[in-house]
Amino acid sequence: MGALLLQYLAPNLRSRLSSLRTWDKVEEIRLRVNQPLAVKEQRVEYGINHQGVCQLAEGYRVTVEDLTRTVEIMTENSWYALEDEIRAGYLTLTGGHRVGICGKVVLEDGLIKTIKYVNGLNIRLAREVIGAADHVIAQIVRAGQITSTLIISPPGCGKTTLLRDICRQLSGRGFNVVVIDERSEIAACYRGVPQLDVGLSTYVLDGCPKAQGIPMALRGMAPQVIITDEIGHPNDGLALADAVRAGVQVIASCHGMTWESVKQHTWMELGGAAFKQAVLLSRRKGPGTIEQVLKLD
Amino acid sequence: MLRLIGAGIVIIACGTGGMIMARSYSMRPHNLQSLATAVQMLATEIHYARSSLPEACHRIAAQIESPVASFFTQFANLLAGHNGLSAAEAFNQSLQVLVDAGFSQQDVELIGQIGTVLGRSDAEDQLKHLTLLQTRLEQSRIKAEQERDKMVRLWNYLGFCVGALVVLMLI
Repeated sequence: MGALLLQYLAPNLRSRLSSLRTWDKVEEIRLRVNQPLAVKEQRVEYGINHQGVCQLAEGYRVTVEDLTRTVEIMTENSWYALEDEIRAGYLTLTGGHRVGICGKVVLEDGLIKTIKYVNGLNIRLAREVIGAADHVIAQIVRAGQITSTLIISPPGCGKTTLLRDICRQLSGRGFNVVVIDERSEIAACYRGVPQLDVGLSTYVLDGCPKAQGIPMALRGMAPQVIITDEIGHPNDGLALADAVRAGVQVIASCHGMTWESVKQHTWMELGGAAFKQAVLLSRRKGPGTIEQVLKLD
Repeated sequence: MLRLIGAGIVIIACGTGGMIMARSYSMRPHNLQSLATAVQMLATEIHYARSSLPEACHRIAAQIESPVASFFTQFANLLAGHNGLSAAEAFNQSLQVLVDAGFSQQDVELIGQIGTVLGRSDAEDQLKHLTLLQTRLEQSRIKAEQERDKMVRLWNYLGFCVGALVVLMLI
């Protein structure tokens, strides 16, 4: 995984990170201008310099040139081709790794036009965990029927990893699955081809906004279940309501700490009725710890 | 006899030199036209298809003739090589293909201007830069055609005339 990711980094960063030997544990690589190159592993952030792993403060200082060069490589020197993703504040790399972007936001008519003077990148490593859904799949599929489920957790608790494995397992059981993969994190498509295992009978609408993708899937793909990530916009709620009316089950994730906090969202009023149960995740015993399965009937 | 052979060699050498000069004048509008066509295709790939630069350049290279095709192939290969090169660096390195193919310094500098901005902004901005380059290439092509009309015939005759003059002076 490390070697594949290193090719996306500026030569200065590449040479420092090539000494890293714990790629299987790395969760994030954080680049901030004039600040130390930071690697995050299981809640601990450490630095890295030409001698190898070190205290954060002693890490190699990331330069503007490093950030600019890294963005150029990540975008294949084609900023224009990823305008929509950049506007949304992230890029997706081969393998499903997501890169958050910070910098000077340029507005046009009050809307984000682009980001310039990139001053920070956060690379979140996607990890495929086959079997991550083993503990919940029995509650999602009962007597051959899928129960619509909402997965709730703060960022970094394994929502997407769990969704991907649910997708793989449902698909393996013969259900017709459609994934609306707005941020290309579930299937991690590269030029349209899923890089991670999403199952035998899964269709993927890659990079498609949920509010448009759900009706598209309903019209054309005859799904039994729609799987999507990070519900949050009121329009997502309206699309979920469409799915309920069509009799299609939905398995989705959203950010939140508790069911009570999620209930306050506007999209819940519009489409929350789609879900019959909620799974709350934490990272108490590592990412993907299932805290509770709530029945919403 | 030897004198005759020597005189022949001088005339042929000077004549060939003149023809080479004439050919450089006659090729220039053609080269500029090829570049302008490639730039137009690049604008379409970037603005409408939103293809990445390596993908766009490979596609263009497959549709146009060398040496412009070789230039775009080289550029695409350097970009896709994961060697940490920026677009500007890859573009500048690839320009050597045009230099080796006999493009004039003036034309190489003209196309070289786009290297610093290529791929670094949104599609709208890229289109503006490419349209401007296309206009400049077109202006250069018109001038090159006017020069060709004047210079091709001149150099074709001049080479042989100079050769004949040298022979007369030597005899």
